[in-house]
Amino acid sequence: MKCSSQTFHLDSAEKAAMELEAQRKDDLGFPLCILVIGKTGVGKSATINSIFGESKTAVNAFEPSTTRVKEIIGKIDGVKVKVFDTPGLRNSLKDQPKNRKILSSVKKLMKKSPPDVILYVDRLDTQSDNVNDLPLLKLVTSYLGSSMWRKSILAFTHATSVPPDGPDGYPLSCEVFIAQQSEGVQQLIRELLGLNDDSMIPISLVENHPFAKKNENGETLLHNGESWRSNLLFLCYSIKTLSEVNIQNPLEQRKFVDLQIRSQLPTRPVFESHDWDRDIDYDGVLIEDKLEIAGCFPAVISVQLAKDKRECNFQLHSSFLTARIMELLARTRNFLTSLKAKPKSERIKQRLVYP
Amino acid sequence: MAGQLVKEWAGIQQFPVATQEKLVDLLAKLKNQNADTLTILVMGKGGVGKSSTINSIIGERVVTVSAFQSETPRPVMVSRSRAGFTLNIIDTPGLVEGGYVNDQVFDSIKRFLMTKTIDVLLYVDRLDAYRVDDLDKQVVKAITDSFGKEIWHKAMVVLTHAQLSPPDALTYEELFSKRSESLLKCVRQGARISKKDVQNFAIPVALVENSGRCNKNEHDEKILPTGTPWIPNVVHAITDIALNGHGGILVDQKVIHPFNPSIPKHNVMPFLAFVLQYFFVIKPIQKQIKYDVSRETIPSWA
Repeated sequence: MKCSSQTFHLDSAEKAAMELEAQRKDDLGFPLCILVIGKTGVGKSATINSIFGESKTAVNAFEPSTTRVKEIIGKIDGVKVKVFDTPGLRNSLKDQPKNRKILSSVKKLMKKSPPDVILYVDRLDTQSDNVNDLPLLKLVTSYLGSSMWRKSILAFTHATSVPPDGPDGYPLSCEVFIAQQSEGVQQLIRELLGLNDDSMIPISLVENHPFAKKNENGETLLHNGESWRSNLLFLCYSIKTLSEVNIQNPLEQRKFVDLQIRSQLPTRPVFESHDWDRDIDYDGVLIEDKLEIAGCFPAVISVQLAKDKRECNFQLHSSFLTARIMELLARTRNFLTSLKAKPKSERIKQRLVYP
Repeated sequence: MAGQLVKEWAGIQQFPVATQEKLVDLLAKLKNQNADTLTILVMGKGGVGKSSTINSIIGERVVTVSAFQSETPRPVMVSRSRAGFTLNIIDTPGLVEGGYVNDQVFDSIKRFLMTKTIDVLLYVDRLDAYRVDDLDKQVVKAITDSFGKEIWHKAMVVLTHAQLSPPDALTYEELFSKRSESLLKCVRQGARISKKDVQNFAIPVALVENSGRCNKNEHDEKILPTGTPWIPNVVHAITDIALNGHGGILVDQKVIHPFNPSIPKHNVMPFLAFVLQYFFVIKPIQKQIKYDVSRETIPSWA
């Protein structure tokens, strides 16, 4: 009995879908909007070209090819898809103002036409120093809101690159390699959001190299033989559908407190860990900024303000600055002592020689 | 230095015969020119393949390598001798941390190199990291500031991960040329080598592939996609630099402490810094906060 009622539902659903499809001639009316962000040179534009199956935006391995946020519209299997290509973010301290500009224009764009999915792109094969990415991820989260990770996918390019040798001298298996590389970024994001469980952001592997192995449909294959493009599109549609139906995904189990902070600087709420209380509320605000003192000394200034405005903590971290100041003071001291040490007659002599 | 037993360069035996012959020839060339030790300093950002390259050249796993953890924690010197010739290679930690150049690493490297002479500097980066950014320039600048501009007379660039398929429909030669040129341009800018001076600073670029799946030729030598066996190629470039007429860089007190700060017994500076901060920073801020609080009309959050 149960079995037949299920098939009945499937049949009627299929019928309804085919009727709808016949009515709308070309446009299935399910627009998908994707925002693509990430560091410079990781393959954002190349991934967009691969998704559409044609060259929609310029790529260049050696120089940034995307200089402004670009809106790219196309159709994938009859579905209208809109993708926002953004200029790459940079890791060096000096480029933070550029990053801020890019992120604030992305933020404006998100307000105007909020994306269904955010693709955070990075390379699979250059993760060894990814701890350097934490400041960048913090900046991104502070501009786009921590709720952005609810609809994000981590896209790792160069996915068919051969894994490096493991400690025993033999190459690592692809699964181990992919798991370890992606886990690095996942951990950074968990640290950022203050999560200490195993929640994960969905991952998509990407391969844009023209010579990578393809199947008979011309779709590029990963090491496991799957077409990455179909997987990625499926993931995007799933995220969109889930968010529309408002199903809670694991990251939703904690409430995201997005403070409406009108602040130019990266600000984030500070949580005291209450193990007995699932309801997390913020306890204060931490404003952090990296600056360059005198144009060359990196420093981090942080201000922590408690919620009741009773406590305020200012901190300036700069090991470099202290070292330089100590050097400068030592120089001055040496110069002064050298002056004192010279006997009077010598000093007079010097004055005569160099009038 | 006297009395220190240096290990025999056993690793040379595990190379294929063709490679061994070439290496022995190069060592003989050095000995002929009365150079019986060679000290090579290997530097670069984290995760580029410094330790792997050293392991490949020595022919045994002398330095631990992990593709995932942050790399070598402190500078380490590996010494091997063969037929009266001693090879010293110094592995260093990555020079970049958290978006800027790590000064503490530089200090630890300089302290480690005290009284040693650098004959050759290997500046290592990846062939497949196509972008050059401000961070690279800062690394080069820091190296130049630490050891002096003369170090670039004794330097070469090593590009790892050489076995790859070029992007953007470039040929391998085009890729190598573009990548070398952009990295060399960055080095010239960071080291402040003027356009006129460029021919005086001929910095060679060599390719390296450290993984076990490196392709091999008919003599079982590890080769690049161009067909060149890369280990003799790199060692050849190193010997050319060693014998190029410019003196090695001696790391002495002058290099490490250019201003010679001697910390006196009664250090008045921290106290002075605190006093100044208290009067000129803390007090005014406290006054402002009090003023702000007195003017507060909006109820606090909750």
